[in-house]
Amino acid sequence: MPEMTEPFPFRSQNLLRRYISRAFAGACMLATLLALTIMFVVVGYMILKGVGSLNIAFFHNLPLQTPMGMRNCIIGTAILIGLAGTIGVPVGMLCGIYLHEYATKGWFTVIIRLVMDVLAGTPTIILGVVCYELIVVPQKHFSGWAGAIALALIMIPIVARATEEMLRLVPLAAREASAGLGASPAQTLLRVVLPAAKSGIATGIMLAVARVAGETAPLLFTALGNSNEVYNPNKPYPSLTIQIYNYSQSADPAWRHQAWTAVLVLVTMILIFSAAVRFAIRGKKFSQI
Amino acid sequence: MDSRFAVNRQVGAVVNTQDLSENAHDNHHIRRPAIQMRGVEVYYGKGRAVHGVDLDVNSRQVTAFIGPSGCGKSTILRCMNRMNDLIRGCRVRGSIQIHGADIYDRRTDVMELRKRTGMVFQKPNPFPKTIFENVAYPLRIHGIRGRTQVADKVHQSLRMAGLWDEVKDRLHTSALALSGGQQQRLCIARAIAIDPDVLLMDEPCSALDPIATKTIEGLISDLSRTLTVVVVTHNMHQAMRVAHQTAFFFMGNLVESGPTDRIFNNPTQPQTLAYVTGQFG
Repeated sequence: MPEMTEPFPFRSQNLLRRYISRAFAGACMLATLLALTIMFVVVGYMILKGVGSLNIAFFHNLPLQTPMGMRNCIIGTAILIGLAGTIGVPVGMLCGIYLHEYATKGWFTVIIRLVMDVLAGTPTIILGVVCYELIVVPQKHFSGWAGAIALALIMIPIVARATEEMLRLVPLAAREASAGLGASPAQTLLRVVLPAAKSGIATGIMLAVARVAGETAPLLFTALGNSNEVYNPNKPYPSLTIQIYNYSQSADPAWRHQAWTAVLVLVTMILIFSAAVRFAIRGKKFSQI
Repeated sequence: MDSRFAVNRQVGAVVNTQDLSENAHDNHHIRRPAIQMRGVEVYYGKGRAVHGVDLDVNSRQVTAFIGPSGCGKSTILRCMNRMNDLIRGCRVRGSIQIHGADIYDRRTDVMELRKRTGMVFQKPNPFPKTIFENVAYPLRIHGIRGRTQVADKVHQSLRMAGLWDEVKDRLHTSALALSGGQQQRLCIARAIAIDPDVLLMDEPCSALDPIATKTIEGLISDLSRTLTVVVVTHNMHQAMRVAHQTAFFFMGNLVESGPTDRIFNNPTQPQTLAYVTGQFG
């Protein structure tokens, strides 16, 4: 006969514990929701404002033509990022490889890492001013090269740290498998370790590119911007971000609309680039070991 | 198999002519050892992991290293192709000679040494490449580029590793889709593709099921007709099944070595007797 007076044995002994647990989960959810909302507002506002001036002429015409366009700035930004990447990615990757593969642990590597972190956290306008002093002033003119180098300086620490972190994740078993077959350290690195780390490194590069694609301050001191169709990096260089900066302060609403459209195009360019990189590097990792 | 003998004769002829004039199947003669260790000590940082090991490893036989975990058997094995070089703070004293040449000599090229001294690891570690490319990798890094030459060698190695029939229709699919036992045989194929004289195996079956283990053990016996095999195992029965010679390590010391039969049935050292009869370990 069941004892009805016995209390249920599994009743919660500590209600507070359960409430705290629920409150924590709720807080996490709320914060995520907030972040998502902000993102949707930003993207929505951008589309709302930018889509009005989005037409073929925007991609086809130059800023001083009617109807207005930003062909030179779109191409200019792409070339600037390309030049910056050509300088910054190899230097950053080699630096990361050196740090992880070759440098002996000690005060020297500690200092390099510290410098990298400081450089990564330096306000980019400072890098712009430095490039202004070191490149623009001696040359006596603004130039695409100066802009590309300023952007490259921003990329190097990001790429270097990403490379180092990703190399760290490659399991020792992969290195041993290669070394055990008589591969030289360079062969092991190029044929086994880097391929195993490539998706992570590519993500780091992608982040660096996305980061510099939106940079304006350092370019104001270096590339300066250009309303004409000039793609010679020795000349002042057109860039979407500089154009956005200039137009957004304009009194003319048509120019401000152009700035919004430029924002939309820039964000879409970064999105397409990121998606393309992710697609290109999809796939295999060094498994299970 | 015939071409394989020819290759080995060529490689061995430089260093060890007298061995190779004998019949390769004949393991009963005492011949000049393939590997000679004298006073080998290994330090990790300040701690000493291996104390003064003197050991000869016979040419074209299977030698098993047995002993409880942490006894230094893997450490010793990893000295023979200088894999310990990869570990910071690891130092080796004493002399290890392979075919009469001191491998810790200043003139030793570690890459060449490892090419001649293949290694198979505890966990199968195929590259995330195709089956074909896994076996082709050592050939390519040692400068063998000819398409047919590479393909022939890959096929031959897969056959020797007893994997050919299972993978011949999917050579160009990922090696990671293979089972554990197949992956380990792939790693063996990869190690023997560049015709090493010595094959070092670090507990090659400890991550495998009994059936895969049996296959690998058969393979070890086959390979020992043309190669010198050293196999580290903590499975005493495995040593009894595959090894001609057995060396028992304990606490960083070589306690006893000799023909497997004698080590298990008539050991001279009390520690060996205690271990092989299962009193510890």
